[in-house]
Amino acid sequence: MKGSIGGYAGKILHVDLSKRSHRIEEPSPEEMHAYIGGSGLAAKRLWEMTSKETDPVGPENVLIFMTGPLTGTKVPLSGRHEVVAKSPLTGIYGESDAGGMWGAELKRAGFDGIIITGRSTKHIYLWINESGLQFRDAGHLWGMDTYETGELLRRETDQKATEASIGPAGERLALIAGVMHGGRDCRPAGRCGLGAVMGSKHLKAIVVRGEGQVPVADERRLTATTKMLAAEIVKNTKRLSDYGTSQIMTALEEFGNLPIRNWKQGSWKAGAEKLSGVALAKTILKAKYYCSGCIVGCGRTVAISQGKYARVEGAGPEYETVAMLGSNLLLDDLEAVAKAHELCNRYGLDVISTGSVIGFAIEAAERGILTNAQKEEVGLKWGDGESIVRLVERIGRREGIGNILSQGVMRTAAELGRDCEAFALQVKGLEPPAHDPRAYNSLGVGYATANRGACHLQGMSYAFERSVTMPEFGMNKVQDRFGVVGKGELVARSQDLMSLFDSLKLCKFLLYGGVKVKHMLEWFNAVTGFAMSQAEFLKAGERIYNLKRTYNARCGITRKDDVVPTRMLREKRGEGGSADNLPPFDDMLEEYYTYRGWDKNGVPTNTKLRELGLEQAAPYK
Amino acid sequence: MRIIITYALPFRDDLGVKEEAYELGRDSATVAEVLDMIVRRHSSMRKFVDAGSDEAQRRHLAVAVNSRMAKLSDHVRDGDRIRLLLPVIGGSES
Repeated sequence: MKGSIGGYAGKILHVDLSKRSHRIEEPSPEEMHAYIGGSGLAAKRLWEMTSKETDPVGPENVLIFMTGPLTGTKVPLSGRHEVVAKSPLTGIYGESDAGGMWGAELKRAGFDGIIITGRSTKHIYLWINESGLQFRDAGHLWGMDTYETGELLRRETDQKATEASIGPAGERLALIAGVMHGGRDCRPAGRCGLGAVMGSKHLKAIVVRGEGQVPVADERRLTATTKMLAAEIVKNTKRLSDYGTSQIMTALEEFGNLPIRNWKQGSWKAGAEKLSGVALAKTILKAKYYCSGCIVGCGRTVAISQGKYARVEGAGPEYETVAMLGSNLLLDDLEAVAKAHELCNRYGLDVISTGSVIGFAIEAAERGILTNAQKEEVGLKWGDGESIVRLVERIGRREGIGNILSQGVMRTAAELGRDCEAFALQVKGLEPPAHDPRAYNSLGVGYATANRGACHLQGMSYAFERSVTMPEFGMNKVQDRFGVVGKGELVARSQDLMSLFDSLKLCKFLLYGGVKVKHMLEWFNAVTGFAMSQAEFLKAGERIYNLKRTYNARCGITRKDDVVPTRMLREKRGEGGSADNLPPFDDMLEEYYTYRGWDKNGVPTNTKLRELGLEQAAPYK
Repeated sequence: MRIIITYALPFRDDLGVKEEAYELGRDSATVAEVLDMIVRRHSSMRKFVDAGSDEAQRRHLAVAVNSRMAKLSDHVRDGDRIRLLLPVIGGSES
């Protein structure tokens, strides 16, 4: 493997599906220094290759898979990659981050990323290894679910290969379809409807296998830092390892964060316990799952051998699943949730958007907004596992009412009309994940300003209101979750920091392991050979965040779009740990814009863009 | 004063107790003192208690007083409900 600097393969593969051609791009070290890789570099390419007019499901949209400089190295929890495109769900910047093995395999095959343009006339898949790229017919795979697809593709290529694929939902352009990785081990890039972009290109899968080594500039320095931190990471994340991400169910219910009954109910202790990671470990857990380079193992592999949901086997529910398809729907049957989760994986649906749109539909039915025929089609009821499982299948196939719901909450609400907006939870078209701004004030401004719509991961500021400190930001103690002053700054700085995680391609759970900015920078410099200062490093995070915002501003996004779902802003939970709190949104947003150096309309100023070296983005205004 | 302690999973299974009352011969106690009392009654809870600092304690278990996350120095009063939970780590990524 050749690369002018460590960490990078030094090559991006551009594939034009319309022409069945490809070319290799060699990005410059200066660009890697400025945009790091992963999400940052992908955002730069999306900015350059698409425009306000780009149709997200047209051949002119680009679909980008990008690793980071740490992907495939011995840095712990670095086995991730980013999937980026103009989102068909939101019409703006779209990205989703995935774990698993795929990113590391791509890097070892000699590529930092793949950028796909055009549309194939036939259904195809790509097979990439160190020998190069093959376009292969996927006619026999079209219609298959992602688990079947993974198994068959490994037989056709290499048993050690891994794939990114879409299920029937992506093929049929469901706007809440994601890109799944690793077949039955399913690691999704679920958010923003990127599976529909892949489907629109008639691309079923990208199979990769690599056996090369990722170059490292200073192996000794890398080993020393990793050795120093590894034991601490393992110790601090033991609960995650023991009980998976859903170990937080009971605590988040206690603190009034859990979505319950389409975010309307404040407390549900008994249900939360039945769905918790502890309950899962005692019942359906088969094994832990580790992504490439992981030393935590928060992933769950589950198996159900008998009963109504027998034969469920593979990737198990995460916190977002048990919350959005469980408590949000008042469903406390863990096996039913595991079944719904598996169906989302197989059909290639985002579990967050799917749980959200089902919650919305049940409330609409309750309010008499759905027709009787629509209600009876699946027997929509809170807590009814069978009807919920049935509805997931209908959404995956885009059948009946599932066809409407497959467009996500925003479009479904618009189609139904009749004042649905009050209980249609979304920001810029993206449904919120299972974290409530009424429980963590900073999440309000975080959801409003996240570049892909309502998202907890683009800022993750709530981590600093729960348990994490960050001395580099002057945060030596955990922040008050119900505070106001300083939240705008907290969110902006968290977003810049998360831009670095997303661009290096590090798992954000390292934060809970005790990893600080200085450690991330040490890894980056050791791997690449750069001598970046902490100030430059943080500036790169700010640059990346501002570039994405500028992309959205070019698409017409302004302050009017920086909102919090009405229910989270105006309706108190009424009981539980956040019973009386509503996020003081306007004050926090004002502080946020000021800290960011954006104008009153939420648009980065030319001065700010120049300061960040984003002069090329300034003329659009 | 009388307070109620409830144990979430997995503490409940470990102790075989879901909820229990504590009678304290005074009007107020800190969360740290309550944890100390719990350890005296249930020695197996000792490994989860690290009252050196809030940060250290949060790594082992979370304490909620009347559904509000509590610090070691917070005071509990008559009738308060104290819940012991797994600490808050993570969420999910996608």
